[in-house]
Amino acid sequence: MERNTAAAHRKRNLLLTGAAILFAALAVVLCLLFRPKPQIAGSFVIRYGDGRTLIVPAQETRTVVIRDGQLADVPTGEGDENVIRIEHGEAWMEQANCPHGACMKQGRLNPDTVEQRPLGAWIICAPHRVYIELSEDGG
Amino acid sequence: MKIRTLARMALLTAAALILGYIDALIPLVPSVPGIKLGLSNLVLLYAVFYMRPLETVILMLLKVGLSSLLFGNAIGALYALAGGMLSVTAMLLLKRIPGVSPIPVSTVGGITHILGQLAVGTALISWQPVLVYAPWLLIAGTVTGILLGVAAKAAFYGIERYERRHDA
Repeated sequence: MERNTAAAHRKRNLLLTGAAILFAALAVVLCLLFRPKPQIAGSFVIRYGDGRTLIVPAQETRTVVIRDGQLADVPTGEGDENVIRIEHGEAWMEQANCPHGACMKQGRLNPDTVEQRPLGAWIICAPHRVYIELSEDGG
Repeated sequence: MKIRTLARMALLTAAALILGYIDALIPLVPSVPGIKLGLSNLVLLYAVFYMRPLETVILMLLKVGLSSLLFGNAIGALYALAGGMLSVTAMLLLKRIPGVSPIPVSTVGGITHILGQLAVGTALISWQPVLVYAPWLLIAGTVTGILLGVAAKAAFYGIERYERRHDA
């Protein structure tokens, strides 16, 4: 009797775990199907603050400083700060004082690296709500 | 709340904070932010199985609030809170099934934690970067959920054996 119950519990646990894995797998497939397609570089679209957008042509050489959701002139390291560098058709997060600095480890974004980058055509700093998108039409 | 429960919750909160700190020191995929082992969820898993639902929710709120205060920021707290609320609710509901083991509970907890965070990401940023992010986070949440469930199952077995020996 006890053995039957244990076997039923084991089967139920396997089914539940399997269903959870299947659900996650389906969600992954759906995300991959609807993933935004990488574009040929025309410009970098930088989104920050509450829906603000800055478009920088890929050919420009420019350093963009964003502090506390607003554009700033020079980096100071104060507040929630991100320093984005755009040069030779590529963009990268040069400095950021977000908790883990993961955005600085996302590497350089250009048309050649889009396919290999885990985050495709994006550089994302989730804690500071700053992200850079490689865009063909300029956003 | 009994003194014994209060002491246990204080101990578990401290354990969750330490495990959360260790978690932050081990980046699994450095280029994809947010992918962590989720070691501190072991503590929540323990609470789901051995404490009352309300105590589990309070423990999750303490963990999110204190770790955001010590190691994160307000936006990070929002992500953690959404993930924590959704995963604790899902785990508590699943725990009601008779004979359920920590492995499916932890797996569902890992996946729902990510879903909560993705929902906040969609609301705060936009759906496009979230869709790029989502597959990585979902795979990580599922794998770490299973691993933590296996670890929790072994730990709970040890705890129960210890308690039986000392009660006898």
